Amino acid sequence: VISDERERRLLDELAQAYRRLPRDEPAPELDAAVLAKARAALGPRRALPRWGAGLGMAAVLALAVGLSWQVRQRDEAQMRPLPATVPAAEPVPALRRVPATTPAASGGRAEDGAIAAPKPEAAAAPVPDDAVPPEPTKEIEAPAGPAADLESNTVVGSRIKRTNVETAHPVFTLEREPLPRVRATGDEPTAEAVAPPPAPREPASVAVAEEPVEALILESAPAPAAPPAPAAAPIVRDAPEPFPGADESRPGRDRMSAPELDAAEEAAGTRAGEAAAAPGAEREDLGALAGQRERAAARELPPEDRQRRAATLGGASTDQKKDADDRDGLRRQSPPAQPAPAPAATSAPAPSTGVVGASERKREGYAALAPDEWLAEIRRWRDAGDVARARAELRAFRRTYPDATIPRDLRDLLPP
Amino acid sequence: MTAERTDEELMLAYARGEARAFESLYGRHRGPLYRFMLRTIHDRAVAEELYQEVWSRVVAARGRYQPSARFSTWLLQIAHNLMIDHFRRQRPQAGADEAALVLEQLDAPEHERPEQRLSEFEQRRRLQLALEELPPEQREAFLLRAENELGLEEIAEVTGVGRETVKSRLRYALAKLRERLTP
Repeated sequence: VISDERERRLLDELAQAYRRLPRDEPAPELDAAVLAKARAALGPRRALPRWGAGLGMAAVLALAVGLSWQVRQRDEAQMRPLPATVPAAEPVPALRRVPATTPAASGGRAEDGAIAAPKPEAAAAPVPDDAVPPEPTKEIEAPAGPAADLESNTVVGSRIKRTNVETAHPVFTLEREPLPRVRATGDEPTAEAVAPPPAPREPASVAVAEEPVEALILESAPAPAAPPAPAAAPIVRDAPEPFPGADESRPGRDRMSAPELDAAEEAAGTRAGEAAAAPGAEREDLGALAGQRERAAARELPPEDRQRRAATLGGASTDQKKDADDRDGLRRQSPPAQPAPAPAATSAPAPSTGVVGASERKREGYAALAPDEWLAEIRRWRDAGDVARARAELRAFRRTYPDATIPRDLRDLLPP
Repeated sequence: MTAERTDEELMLAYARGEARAFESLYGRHRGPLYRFMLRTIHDRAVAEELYQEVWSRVVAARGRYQPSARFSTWLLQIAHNLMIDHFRRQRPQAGADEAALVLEQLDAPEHERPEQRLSEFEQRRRLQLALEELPPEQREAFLLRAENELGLEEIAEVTGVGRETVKSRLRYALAKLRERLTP
């Protein structure tokens, strides 16, 4: 440090003397104060992560709660329209079956649970052999949830459509399958699909043609209480295939392109939806009997016709109330169906005439007729030897008019 | 593991938020700094107050700390500045005349050396008294050399003066001490 040797030696000596002095140390309190200050300086940095973590957790929790609330609200909003269009007494299953089930199933739809249960009864009942096979009914019952039900209309419909082609059971022909029927008539498919039939048969055809709309209305409305048994009866009623055009129609249907089928189905669905949303007052204007007729017609009509007419209405008319009024009026004015006595064979053609319009009328169901006319038709079936068909028609008649008195000559056709 | 790190590394670690690094650093420098300040100021209360202030400044300056110099030098520099401020508030510094007088006394005869004349106990007591009587700059230079074992350059860096000034202050300090220790 110091260049001078004497000074350096003196400095070393003094340094040694200094080191022998008492080694003072800071007091523990002083140390604690200094260390505390040092930690306190770091304190805010440490506290910040804790605070941030707490805030983050709270934010995440709030976000999760908000999201779940939103999802729940959305779900509720999506679920609300269902009960609005479907009656509470028969919420989803009815809606599910309406587009997919057969007229027979629709006939027994009022007692909701009877779809699955009466199958054994149907088998045990005096039903023709070519009555409804159970498989399609199972398919119809397959959808479980509301969403699946809604979406399954098309899917199940397509499936049933295919089943119908394969099994040749018009019972399972969906209401949305109008075109094969159109082709079977020999008319121009597109013309028939969008316009009423030719003039001579026009009133009746139009009247019946528009029924599916009302039928769909009624099907989405609360179903009236029905007798417990007749679930199988409509199956019997629709089971025979007396119409020669039915089988011919299938190739025509198969020739239909997918867009055409979809368009027809969409038209029918749209009309059905509009009708379902129509005010109840419009339906009330038709009168109680007309409502019964409509309901019965909706059940009794072969699904092909219902589908075709729904599609036809979808393209031809926009005024639902006017349609309903016209339909009712036309039906009242239309002459009763005059089917000729049919052969007894279940596979035989229609008993009345070979004309397309006449057979069509039968296929469309006698529910459109007045009660006495319907009973006359039943007698004709009986007299023609087709007792099974007569019984089925009589059961359908009883379902439609449960308070009507069955004539004595027809009581033998009733089940014991 | 923490003890193996240098002072500079510990200070940087503390600047990053490692409290234990500061504890290690404090443990290394607490005694020398405390004694340096205590013997420089002579007043324990003031020395402890300034001692706390030194560490407070270290803590506050942790974010700006750059390991370009030794930590001990930086620490003593803070202490020096605080003590200078304290002395300036207390009394005027020693004049150049007093320093010259001390230098003249350095050339005392050898037989008058304190270690040869006084007992060891007496020597320690006199040394303490002689240190207290030294002017602050001289005492500080002596303490930085004897207590903290700094060289002329480091003392100059701590005190903020030139190397020759430090050398002069040391000479004055030695002369006065020898004078005080001589019976």
